[in-house]
Amino acid sequence: MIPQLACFTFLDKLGNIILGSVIAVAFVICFVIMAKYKHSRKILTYILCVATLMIGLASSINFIRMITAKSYENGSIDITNKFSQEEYNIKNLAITFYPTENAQSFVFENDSVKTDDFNGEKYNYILKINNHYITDCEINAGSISAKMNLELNDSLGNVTYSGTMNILISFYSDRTNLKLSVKTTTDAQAFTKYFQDNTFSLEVIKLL
Amino acid sequence: MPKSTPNTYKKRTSKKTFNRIGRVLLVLLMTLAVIMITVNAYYYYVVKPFRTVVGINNISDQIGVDIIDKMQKEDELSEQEKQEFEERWFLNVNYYSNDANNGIELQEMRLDYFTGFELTSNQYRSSGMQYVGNFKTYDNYGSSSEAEQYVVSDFIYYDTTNGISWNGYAGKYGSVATKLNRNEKFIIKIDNEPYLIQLTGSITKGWWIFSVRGYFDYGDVFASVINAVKSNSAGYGDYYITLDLSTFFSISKYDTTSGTFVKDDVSDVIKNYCVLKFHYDRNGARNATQSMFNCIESDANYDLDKTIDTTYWQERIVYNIDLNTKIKNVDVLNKRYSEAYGGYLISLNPLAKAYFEEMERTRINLKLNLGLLRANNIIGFDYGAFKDFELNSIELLSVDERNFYLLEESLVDTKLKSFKYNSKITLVKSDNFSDNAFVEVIS
Repeated sequence: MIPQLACFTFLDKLGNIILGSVIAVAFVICFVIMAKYKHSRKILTYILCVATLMIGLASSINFIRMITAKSYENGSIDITNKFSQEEYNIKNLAITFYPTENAQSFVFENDSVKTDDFNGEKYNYILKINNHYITDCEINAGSISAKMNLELNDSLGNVTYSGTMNILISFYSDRTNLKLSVKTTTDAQAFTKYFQDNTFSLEVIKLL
Repeated sequence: MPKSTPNTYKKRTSKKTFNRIGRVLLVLLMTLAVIMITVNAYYYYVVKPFRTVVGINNISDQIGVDIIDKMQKEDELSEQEKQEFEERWFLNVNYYSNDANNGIELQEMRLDYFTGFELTSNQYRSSGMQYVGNFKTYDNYGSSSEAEQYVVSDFIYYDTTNGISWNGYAGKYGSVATKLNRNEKFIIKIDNEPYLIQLTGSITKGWWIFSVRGYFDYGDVFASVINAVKSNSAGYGDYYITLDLSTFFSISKYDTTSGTFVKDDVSDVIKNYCVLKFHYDRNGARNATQSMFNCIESDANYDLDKTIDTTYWQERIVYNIDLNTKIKNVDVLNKRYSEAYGGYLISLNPLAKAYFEEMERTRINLKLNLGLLRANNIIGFDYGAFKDFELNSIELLSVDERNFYLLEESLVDTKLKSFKYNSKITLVKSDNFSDNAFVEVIS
């Protein structure tokens, strides 16, 4: 916040009051002097009439604006659909793997809004990550576990990295939890780099 | 005494008449003016306090009007465009709290707005502030004119268009970036129409000449918004809440007739609500991609982890398919019983082939565990089984001695690189089963 300095504000306001008072006193003195003489009395009258007419006009406009003013509402906000989702659909997530407490693996975890009515026992689902359908996929009643295999090639076409990422999506009553896990530091950095370059999007699609 | 002629007399009479009419008119107008002044004062001080006019502005999404048109015609947007354009809000927050003590505490706030009145996607722009640590707002004394230009120096500021961020804020003067101060005005969209929003909020403490005015700056907005995220009932995650910005911001509507933004000065109470989209993480930030600006401390390569070279040309998503593999709930492999060969011949399901071909940058390995002959009588690849389908490798395992038939054109146009099988299998190859050389590995 930028507060004004109290002493300067006080002096500023005091100065305005003094200036205002001086101007008011000057007006009164001029008024009294002008009222003394017949010719200047006429000019004073005209000035007062014009001032009154202008103030009257401004008052009329203000009055009309005040009586015609109505309450209004611009725009609308409806984010009820943002507190749950019909299908689990994640986009543009920044993936970074963190070592687990025992440092045996590396995990990325994200909570988001609950998914309405996911039921792996009743419906068939498919999992899609970055436009790739995941075939190594197990659908349970309230969760999906899957594996994604990645290879990275150098500019000569040689495979410089090959690894697997485990995916676990858990559908709870109040949220949806996504957990991605890999085994080694190399896996973590390779998958992080892949998702940095290609973003990360994941869809769970219900088959009708 | 000079004689007055009839003409002079007429002129004097008409002049007197005009004067009289003028005076009467003046008196009437003066009376009317005084009446209006009285009525205005009466209405303002007596009637109006019992009549409250409320203005409400709800700031929802900031998606361009051209994108909204395209979204309504679903096939006009590519998947990438949908990802990029579907989510855009005036206020966005990214907060890595480092409660898990595994990185750095990172707080960010971004404003999404437009640079023109047409509100189209080519006028998208974002400006934001980043703080490494836990920001606490403070007072910085100054005059009212200084307050209007003041930019909180504790932050790193970024501008973003099309996902590319830069920090052009060089100091107090000479900036090529948006200065987040009270002078800055942003064009936003409400009801698909342009509005102007500006930080104008202030508070007054004290009385009369002893009162002091405090002007809010973007540091105050930042601290309030981060606090709102910290105190949300859902906790960590990606969520949405609505904020009341009335204390900080004022909004003007764009008048198309006059071509100006018109302030609302008739409402007694004005409320401005806005959607905030946030990411709140218990972890600490570890690399620049976790920032909404893709930079931490103006470093796009910021990375606490990077120990190996992960530079690559292209990636491949690897599929290891076998008899049980399904894609989009469709079996990848078909089996056909052949009387002539006395067993099942395998081929690729054409529907599965179509699904694989939809996906780019894949590498497909076929692995068949042929098992016991009597239980799983797979004896070969059918005619044209994998024709024109890119296969990286094939691996066959069998516990029994058996022949495995590769019928005509079964591996033509597959660009197969290796074929691995154990010694219990004998490959019986038809004349034109394949058109490219591949490595055979017998284990």
